[in-house]
Amino acid sequence: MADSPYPELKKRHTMAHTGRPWTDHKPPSAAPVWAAVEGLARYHSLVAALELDVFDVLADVGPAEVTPLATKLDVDEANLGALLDALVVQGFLEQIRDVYDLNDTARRYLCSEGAATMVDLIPVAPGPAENWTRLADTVRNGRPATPVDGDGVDPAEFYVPLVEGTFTTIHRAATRADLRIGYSRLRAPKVLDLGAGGAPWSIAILEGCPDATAVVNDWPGVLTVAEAKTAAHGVSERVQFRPGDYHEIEIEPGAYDIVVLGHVCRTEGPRAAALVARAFGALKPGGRLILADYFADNGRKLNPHAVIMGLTMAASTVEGGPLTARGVHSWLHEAGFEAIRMIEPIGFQFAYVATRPGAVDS
Amino acid sequence: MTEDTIPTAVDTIVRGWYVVTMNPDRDVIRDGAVAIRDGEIVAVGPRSQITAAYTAAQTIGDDHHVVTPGMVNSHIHVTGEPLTRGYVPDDTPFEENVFVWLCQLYAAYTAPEERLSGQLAAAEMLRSGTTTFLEAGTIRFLDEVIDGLTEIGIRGRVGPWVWDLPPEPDVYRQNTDEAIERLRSSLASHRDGLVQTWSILVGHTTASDPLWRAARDLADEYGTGMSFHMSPAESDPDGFVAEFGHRPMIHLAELGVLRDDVAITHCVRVDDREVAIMGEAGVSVAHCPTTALKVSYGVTQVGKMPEMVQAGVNVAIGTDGNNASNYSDLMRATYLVAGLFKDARTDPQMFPAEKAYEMATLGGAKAMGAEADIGSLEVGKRADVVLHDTDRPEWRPLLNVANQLVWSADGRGVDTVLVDGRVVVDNGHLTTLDEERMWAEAQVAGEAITARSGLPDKAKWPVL
Repeated sequence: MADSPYPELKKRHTMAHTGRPWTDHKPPSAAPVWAAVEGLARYHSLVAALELDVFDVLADVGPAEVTPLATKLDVDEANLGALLDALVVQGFLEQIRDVYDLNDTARRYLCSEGAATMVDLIPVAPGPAENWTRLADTVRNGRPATPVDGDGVDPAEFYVPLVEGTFTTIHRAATRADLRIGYSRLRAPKVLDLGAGGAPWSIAILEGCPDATAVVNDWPGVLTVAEAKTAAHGVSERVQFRPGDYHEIEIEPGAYDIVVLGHVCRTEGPRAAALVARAFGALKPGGRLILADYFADNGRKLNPHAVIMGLTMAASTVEGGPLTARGVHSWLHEAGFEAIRMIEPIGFQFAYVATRPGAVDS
Repeated sequence: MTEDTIPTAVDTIVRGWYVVTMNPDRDVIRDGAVAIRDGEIVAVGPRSQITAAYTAAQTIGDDHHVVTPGMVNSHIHVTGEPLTRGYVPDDTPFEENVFVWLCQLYAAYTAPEERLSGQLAAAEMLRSGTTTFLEAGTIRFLDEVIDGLTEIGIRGRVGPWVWDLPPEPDVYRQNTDEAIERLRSSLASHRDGLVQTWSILVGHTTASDPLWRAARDLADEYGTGMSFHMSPAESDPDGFVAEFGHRPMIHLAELGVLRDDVAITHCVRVDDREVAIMGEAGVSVAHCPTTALKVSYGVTQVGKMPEMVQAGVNVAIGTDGNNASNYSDLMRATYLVAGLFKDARTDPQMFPAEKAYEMATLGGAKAMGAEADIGSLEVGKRADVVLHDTDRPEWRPLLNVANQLVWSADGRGVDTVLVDGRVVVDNGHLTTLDEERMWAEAQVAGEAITARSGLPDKAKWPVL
């Protein structure tokens, strides 16, 4: 069931959910309201646990009661107990009597050495906290008071920690995408990675294709992350870094086998269509675009993750907002792409893959 | 008949090596023929007698053809699924399959795509020997679909998507009054022609009691039958028990829904008391073996189709949607019907080939309340006729025609098909549509629908 794209939907389709409207006068549950009220506490309890190294220390010492754990972490015992209990009820820790321990979720996602660690992503994913406190004003005014991409704002200030934090997750998705689209079978592919951030997609492709080369683009300050990551992964010699605005930098027409638009379209608003068209122009006939992002269902209510991401973008960016599958499909279709399909390389990570028509250049 | 008798003019004479009549005696006529005038069968008999008594504008069939009645598919989704065939992973449990995947894919169709979808489904049915179908009541753009089906020349009963409880997808959201009105207006229109509307609900746990009652009343008012899905998996009985304290058939019987003009799809998870109620009411069941296998309903473990037949339930056969069974060839489904319970009960006498083929023809006709018009080759019935080409490996040697139809052959051997006396398939290809164009349009539309549906491509093999 966990593999379902909309797991919540299954709970809502029958008369058991709707009730019999002509006889059922039971008041609705307050659970959704309390879930929202608790949202802040839920998020910040997780952030605090990461900041205090709760998960890494538990991984190190094994199952532990609160007293020795407080000593090890050098924190207040009573408050640590409250935090640990909150982590247990959220499903991040196991508790047997007074002993706390990691569960599988924590081992995989919340420990620094976890196979799919999200430790660096969690603090940066919602964007600046102050923008959330001003959301009502943002909705009133049509733009946030302090957008992360406003005029005069150094993009590196927000995006450097973001792309560093998201690298592990996106790189894992990009690596797993090979199982769906087989990019490692290409011979000496040329990759263009627009708005690459830490270049997780390019790095995955370069790791999968020893003879591949990549042009990696982002703002100059952000590109330092890509330079560091490509060096750390031993692929920097096959990368040409091309700083600048991806709407304006020079791009060789019909030159690339793969163009990547990784998690950039949702910041673009209406300009995304032009970006997709640029990507089309950059591809060789038979070349493929990978457009990774969070795509809401067309009714924008069945996939809460993508819908909330849309609001996250509205809260902190000038043009950003929700993407729907139908909308992205129309950009791709109108740009001239064919064989358009959506893949889900790992849970919660989706990407459209689309081909520029024409013979594959072997 | 004397030598100087003047032959009567008819439109068509269909000749065959064997004519499988499916008449009350189940006569199989070697070197037989069927005479057709104005879309009606006017004579069935030995070829020598027919050709002596009738002169035809056209003669169809030869010594290598087996002639049968057109089959009746008692449950199929002609929209929503044909253009997304196979996109839904084959490892999804029932509720996810239906409410996460299928509903979202259906909702992504446009009107032209639904029209094309209906034609693709009809093409597959006609080319595999099915001339009549009962649709599942899941059409969104009814006028366009009926127009497309009429163009291709198949016979069918269809209905719009009607439910009043599920809140999603948006495009299908209806309150009770809207649902009733949608059903009423569909029944008021499309009263003539080969493709007409029926009183069909989505069923399961998606309808309120007022909607169930209204659908029953509207079926009576407009003289149609009634159809709906029920109990493929435990969620339906569980839902009814939770709401009403008893199982679906008991509740529907109490509402007055169940009668001999009702065709219920699936009915895998029914208990003995429900079977007795169904038999007493004389309902029909559209048994969809391919869906049961693919969506793991457990039909071979808990299905009671043999008990239903013994209780007097008319069990017919459906192929369901193309993401639940992936094909609309009723001959292949009939093979499964004949075989599943033989194995499940370790009893070779379960559903002999003759019974299985009867379910695919007369059973379907009865499920649709059309046994007076279709389901067999008899004088006075409409001329829905299929010619199977036996010059194929799976048809030779031909020693037992029932066994051959059910156990050896499939729809690929269908050579010629007549619906209402009109040739709609000739030499294995449609006469009413440009097939090549349809294949191309279906590919374009299928890729577009899936891509904009928001549902990911779960194919496990890499696509390079």
